[in-house]
Amino acid sequence: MRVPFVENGYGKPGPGRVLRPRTLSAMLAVLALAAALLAAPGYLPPYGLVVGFALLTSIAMAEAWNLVGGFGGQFSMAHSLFVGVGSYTTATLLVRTDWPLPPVVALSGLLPATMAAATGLVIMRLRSVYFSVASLGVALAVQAWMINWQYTGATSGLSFPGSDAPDESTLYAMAVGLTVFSTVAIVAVVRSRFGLMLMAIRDDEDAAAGVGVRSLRIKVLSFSLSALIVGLVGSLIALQQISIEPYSAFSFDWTINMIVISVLGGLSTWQGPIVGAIFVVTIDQLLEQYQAFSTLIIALCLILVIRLLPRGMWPGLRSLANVIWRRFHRMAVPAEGSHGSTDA
Amino acid sequence: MPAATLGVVIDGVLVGGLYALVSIGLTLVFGVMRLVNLAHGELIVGGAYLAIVSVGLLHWNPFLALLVVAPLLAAIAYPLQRWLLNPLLPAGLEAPLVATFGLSLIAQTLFLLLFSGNPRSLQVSYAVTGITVFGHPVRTVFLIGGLGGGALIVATYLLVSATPFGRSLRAAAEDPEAAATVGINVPHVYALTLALSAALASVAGVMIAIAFSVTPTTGLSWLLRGFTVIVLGGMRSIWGTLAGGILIGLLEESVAAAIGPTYQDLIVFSALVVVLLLRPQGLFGGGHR
Amino acid sequence: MRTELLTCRGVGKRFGGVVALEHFDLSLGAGELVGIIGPNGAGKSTLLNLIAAVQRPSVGEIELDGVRIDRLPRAQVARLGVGLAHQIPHPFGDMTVAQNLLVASYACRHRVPAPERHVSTVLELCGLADKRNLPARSLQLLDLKRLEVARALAINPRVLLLDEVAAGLTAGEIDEVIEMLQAVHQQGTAMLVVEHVQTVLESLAQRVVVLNWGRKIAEGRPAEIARNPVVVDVYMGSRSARGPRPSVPSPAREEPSPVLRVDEVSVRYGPLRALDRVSCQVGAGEIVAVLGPNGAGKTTLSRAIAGIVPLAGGRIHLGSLDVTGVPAHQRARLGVAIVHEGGRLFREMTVRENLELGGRYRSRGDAMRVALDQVYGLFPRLKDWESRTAATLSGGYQQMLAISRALMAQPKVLILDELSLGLAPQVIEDIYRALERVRELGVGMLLIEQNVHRTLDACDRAYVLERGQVTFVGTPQMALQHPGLRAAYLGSRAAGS
Repeated sequence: MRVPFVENGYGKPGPGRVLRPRTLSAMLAVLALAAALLAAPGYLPPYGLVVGFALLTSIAMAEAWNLVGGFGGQFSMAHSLFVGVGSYTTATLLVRTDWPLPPVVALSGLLPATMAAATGLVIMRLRSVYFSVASLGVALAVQAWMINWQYTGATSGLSFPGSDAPDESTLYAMAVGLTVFSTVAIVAVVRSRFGLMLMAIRDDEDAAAGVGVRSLRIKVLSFSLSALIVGLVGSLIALQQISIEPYSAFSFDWTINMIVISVLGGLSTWQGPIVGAIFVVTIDQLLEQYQAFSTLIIALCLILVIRLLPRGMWPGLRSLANVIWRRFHRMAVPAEGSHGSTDA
Repeated sequence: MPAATLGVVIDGVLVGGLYALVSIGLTLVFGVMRLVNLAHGELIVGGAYLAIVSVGLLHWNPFLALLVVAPLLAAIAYPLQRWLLNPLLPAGLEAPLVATFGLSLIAQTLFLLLFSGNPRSLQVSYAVTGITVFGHPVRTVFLIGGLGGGALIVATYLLVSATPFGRSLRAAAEDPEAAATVGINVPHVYALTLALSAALASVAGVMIAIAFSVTPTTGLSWLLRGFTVIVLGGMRSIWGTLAGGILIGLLEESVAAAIGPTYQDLIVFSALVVVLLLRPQGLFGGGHR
Repeated sequence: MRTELLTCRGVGKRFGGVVALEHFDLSLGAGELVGIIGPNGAGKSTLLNLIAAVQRPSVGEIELDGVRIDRLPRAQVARLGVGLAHQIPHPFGDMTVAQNLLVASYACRHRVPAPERHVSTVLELCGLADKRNLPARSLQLLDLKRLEVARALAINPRVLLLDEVAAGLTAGEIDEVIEMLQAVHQQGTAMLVVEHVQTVLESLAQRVVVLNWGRKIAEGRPAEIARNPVVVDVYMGSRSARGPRPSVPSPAREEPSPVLRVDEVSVRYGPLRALDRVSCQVGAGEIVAVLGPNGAGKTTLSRAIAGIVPLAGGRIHLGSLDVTGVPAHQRARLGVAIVHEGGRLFREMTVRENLELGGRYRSRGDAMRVALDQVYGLFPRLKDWESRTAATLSGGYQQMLAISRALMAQPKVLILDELSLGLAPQVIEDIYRALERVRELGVGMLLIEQNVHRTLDACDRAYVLERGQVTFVGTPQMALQHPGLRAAYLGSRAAGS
């Protein structure tokens, strides 16, 4: 019996699949990395660095969200909170203390992670849509707070001297590093025992509890790791902007970005956010003059993908690659049986 | 009762009626289809914009304009549910959620393109006039909004509990397959539900356009308020929506009276989180999930 | 000397006004296998759910090795070593069989020091070793049951709770399950086995506890229990008290103008062929039985006729009308009525509302009144309970309401799917008697059942489905002689009931 291909993080290759998924992914990853590094300063004009930075941070944030929302199945609408906290931690520390950059950035990741853990312990007891709505509530509540908090400048926000921030090339390099780190971390987590349990919770939380899975702990840990990465991104964003204020730092747009990219690219795949981010940033750049249209088109694509290609663009591309490969070889080479390992 | 407290209560109940009206569409859609309509705020704002345009063109009274706006919005909602969202419902919880998310984005962008980002509202005489209720000044529009909202909730309840259509609705909500086998056209019923939800949302939109103002992005905060109301009242209970609305209204007015309006949003959102934790099925909900 | 591994003291559970279990005491020693039997609604599943902490007892204590577990969350109790295999399997569908078990072993790491090896052992034990890399959702029922047990074993439990593992399986499959359970028992795991099917416990249990209406009514060795008159009373035979219908010399020939004709119908669920070119027909006033083991495709056939599943081939005619592409709700309005497996009433609505919904499209105005009278004539108690919510009726009356709701539509064809499942024998008798009267109204009935004897007593003609294909058509008498029928159902031992 032909085993249907499933795209959910486990990605069991069945008989008939020719192009081993890891080969294709690995090839693309190497290409992508090479492109990122080669595009480094010296080869690109400064504006290219800005676009590259935007692309990289989008990827990192989406990968992080995807851990919770895709692999974890918890549709979080709180993540803009972590971006904001990361940004504000960096800005506040740079303004009010003499700390050097490394601990500033580190704390900008750790603080959101801690907040995520605390919040998660509370709201991740809720299931599905109730959790989503609660997460939205928390994010907007904190934004409302920050708008009024004098310590961080309320609506005027904070700004620090440009000399405190690293230059564009360094920033770019940091972004590359963070993106690589987040992608590798996510892949490692997903392929681990922790990852299998996380996906079990996503598939059937009650059945998972029935075999002893510590549901809350695992969900909260994934939420925390996700927030760590997103907080670090927030820090980089603050360093790039030098001046921040609550409306944009905590904007729901960040969450929208993460969700759209992950869904477009492919939930429950680590390649998905990369594909999705490239797509979104490309459209944004092409329609630079017409911001509203770019959002419109992306939203339309979102609906199209949900309707026609529900697993996302990456699985779609992969299937397409397989079809082409097979046709090219004219006859399917039966693949060897697979071992019980996950291929995320 | 001291005058100030009475004032808070009256204001709270009236604005609560309006909030209930804002939320009833969410309750219906969730109750029947288990769909969380993230574009609900845009239905309200869309209704507001449509009303603004109609009033501008026809120079009618806004409530008269509703006779045009509500069916129009319902007519837009019907095919969206029938041909976009219905096919996604079997796929689980995420797909329809993300689809409504996408619809919300599209709507916001359209609003921005068509109406720009400036706040718009409906200018009517009674937007700023008021009457006195029990010695407390009340804006006429809130009186209309609160009482009208309450009346519409009651009408909705009667529709759902006492009419054959309402029975079909409840049957489709409980067991769509069994409902189909007794002759109920379930996809059609679902689409009618969203259409009804849109019509109710348009009424809320008109009130909001009169009493406050709308921008392309105000939908989100109305969505959140709507959620708070239905979570408090029980996500599938019509009476619960009314009660939840009034409670949120009272909460807001009390907070505003006590410490000023700055932290209103924060309090409301915190209330949402607290309720979700302590009693996720709401005050009137049966078994949740 | 026995060491008490698991004890229940005074355990009880109420759901609102309904008492599911009360004053229940039990002790289970290490390595013991105790059976729990009782009719439907006796509280057997509730008991297992309470021990496994799926639900909390309203009163009483449950201890595992002296430690109270009745107030702990489910996952913690699992980690302490209580494994539960549910009646309805809930595997992680997208994962492979092996991964399903790995989740369990990883979660209970402290009990399972070498997870991968333990998983391999368990897969062998449960006969799933060659299926370890298949996605769980592709498995058939018997293998799903194996997986359910295997996953519970993957946590290396001290106590294994099994909830009606044999439910829905044919006697042949039951043999295999018994073998698996014997192998598991030999490993030394203490087991509490809830069963409806006698043969399972005969071969396995050292001790049997009998529940009825939430109370323990007997306890002892299997042989004693089988002879206990109180217990025998509770379980009556499933044959009709009157025996087979007096055979009217109606030939097994099919009528020329049937109300329902199914032609070469095929249904696919993905790669799985649930129905393969199945043909059958029902005439007005005929009762036609469709028999076959579980997984044969009987329910798929009923769903195909109702229009709930699409066809991969073939046609369906209602009288002279081709309804092949017609959606379910329109078929209902044309005269196809179905009583689903389990009734599937609108539980939150009243009896009257359920009935009115049934008749809404075919019986308007006066016709509604007529239909209601007819239905109350068949099942008078329903009239007394018009304003009661459907959920408050007992199982038997819910089934009667389900049949009535279907009849409200004055159907031409009535499909009855697993009518007698979980009902007391007396109730089944009442319902079958009512069906005779329905036949007089000219309604053609398709009776889908696993209970062979009672169904054959009632029908005019019988089809046998096996693995999606019709393997036999004929009179009830011929059906009983059909060797294939016996083999599919009875397996290597004579079936108990």
